[in-house]
Amino acid sequence: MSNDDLGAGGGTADWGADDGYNDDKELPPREEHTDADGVKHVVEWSINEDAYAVKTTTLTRTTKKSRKVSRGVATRKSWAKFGECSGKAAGREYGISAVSLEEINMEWVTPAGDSEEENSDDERAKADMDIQKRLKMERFKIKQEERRRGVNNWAQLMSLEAAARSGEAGPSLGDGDGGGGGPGGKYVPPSKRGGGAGADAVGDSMYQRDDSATVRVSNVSPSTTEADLEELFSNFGPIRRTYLSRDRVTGESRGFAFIAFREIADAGRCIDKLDGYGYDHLILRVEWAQPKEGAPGAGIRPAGAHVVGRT
Amino acid sequence: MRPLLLKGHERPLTQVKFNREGDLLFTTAKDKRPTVWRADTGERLGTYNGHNGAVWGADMTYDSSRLLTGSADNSAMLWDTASGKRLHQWTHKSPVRAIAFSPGDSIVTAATAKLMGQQAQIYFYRHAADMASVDPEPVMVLGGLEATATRVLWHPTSTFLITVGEDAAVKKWDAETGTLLETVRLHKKGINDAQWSSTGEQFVTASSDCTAKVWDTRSLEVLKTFTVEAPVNSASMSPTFDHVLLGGGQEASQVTTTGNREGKFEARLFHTVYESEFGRVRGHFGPINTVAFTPDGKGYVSGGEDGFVRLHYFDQSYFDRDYD
Repeated sequence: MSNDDLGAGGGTADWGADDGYNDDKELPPREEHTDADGVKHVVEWSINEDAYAVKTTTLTRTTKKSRKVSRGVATRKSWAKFGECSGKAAGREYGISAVSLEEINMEWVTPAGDSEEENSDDERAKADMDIQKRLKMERFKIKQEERRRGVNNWAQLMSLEAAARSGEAGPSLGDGDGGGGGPGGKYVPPSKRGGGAGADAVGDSMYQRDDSATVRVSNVSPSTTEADLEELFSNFGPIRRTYLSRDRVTGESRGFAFIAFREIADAGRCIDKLDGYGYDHLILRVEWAQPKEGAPGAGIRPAGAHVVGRT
Repeated sequence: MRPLLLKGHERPLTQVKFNREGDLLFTTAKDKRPTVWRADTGERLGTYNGHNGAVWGADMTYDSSRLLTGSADNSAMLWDTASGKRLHQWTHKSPVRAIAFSPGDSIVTAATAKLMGQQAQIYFYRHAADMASVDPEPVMVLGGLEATATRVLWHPTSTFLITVGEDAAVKKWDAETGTLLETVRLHKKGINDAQWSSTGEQFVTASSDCTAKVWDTRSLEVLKTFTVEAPVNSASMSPTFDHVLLGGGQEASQVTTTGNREGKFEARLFHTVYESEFGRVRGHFGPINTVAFTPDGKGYVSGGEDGFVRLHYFDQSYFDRDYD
């Protein structure tokens, strides 16, 4: 960008206006130099809409790669753009061509009948069984609770609960059979249901994710991808989930990630080994993921879990 | 791998095709503007403006100097690839569904749709480098098709051609006389795409009956069948590995009723010999309408109902893997 039109000549500027950059002050000229590594530094100055001077430093590294191509291909390299993009500058057009921000990996499919596949199928079946069992328990508990209170339909239970929360006198059981739209029949999200049922219900909710075997990794270098993390952390045991936090707009890594292990012991060992480990010129910080405030499940992790493997 | 996302089309893609050397990628969609891209950078090189309807397919000459497109505006157009200038236009009575140059580029073949009271036909026009000798009148017209031909494949020897149709038929025609040599119906539903193997000894067809089949060109026998859960819109054979790539997914009209994962919008890679699936690549938000391997087999491109073209270059792990 040329800045000839920006400066009005330094000599004519009033010294009183010298305490900050403004339109009258001439901006430093554009600087350009190439350092020993072949990186081109360009320093440009401009004035933004708030009348502040902005210094923009652009670093460019140019590498040359030669590739042998046929004559036809070589000729086509020099073709100019035409049609919709006629007259556009060489290179990708913004909004038309882009490199995917997301790393897409091929999902390898192991053919059915392999022992590995069978194993994981078994595991899945087992997990399903567990869930079924827990659901049954949950339902049984609710039934018990309802019976204890002498409620015989859901709408009645809801209105009772709502009344208990608001501290008002609830509607009597007799007039609550009008249906779901009855007085005080406010909607209660599933996670809050049974909140007044007693202390023993805490931590049993099906809807809560179990974060006990999850570690939080911070100070992750921006160039690290999910695949890199998986490669590094899978050394300690099977991983359930990897999440690398990214900026929603630019897709750049925000420098921290969560790794959910299957086993708490694996997570413990991982923290022992990797906290303070130098990875890609930065020192990783690995700690237990903090569950959300007040979420049931916060107390699930056994107290001795993080000592596993340390003794 | 990080695919290149090419967002030049506003409507569903109908065909993606590399030129012979693989440096240019041609895409056609239902939005009237065939587009050419540089395959290495994903840079849009130009669009061919002039059609007034969905463009169903494209083909280019051996030296990539000319491009042929067939459109639902009933016309086939011949373009100068480098400048986007229209050189010639052939008009028909119904949409042009499939288009191809013969080997040696001396014949232009255009297959028209069975629509608007017209019969499905295949037109042959003379083509030459010298535009003066490009004939507006067909030298030969093939009839006798029960349904629209969706792709026309000229055998590299120029002696016969293969057409696949909406009626699930694979037909072999004598290129010299225009006689129908053989009709084989082994698919249960319409065939959406057909592509040669790198040698022309086999070809692969993709059908709405949720299968893709590899055929022996000479005998028209089915050698291999690949079955998936959703209609297959396109299939391509790798020039370097025994791999077949399938693109498809639930029909566009039913997409909104299912989630992304259930729609099976993944590109699926099968081992040709074992007929077993070994890999999947996700990314499209809708069914994949068309796929093609790069001529060097190092990547592939897919075009979706979502209007996106995704150009993939495989990671090293694809080449290192033991597939046998």
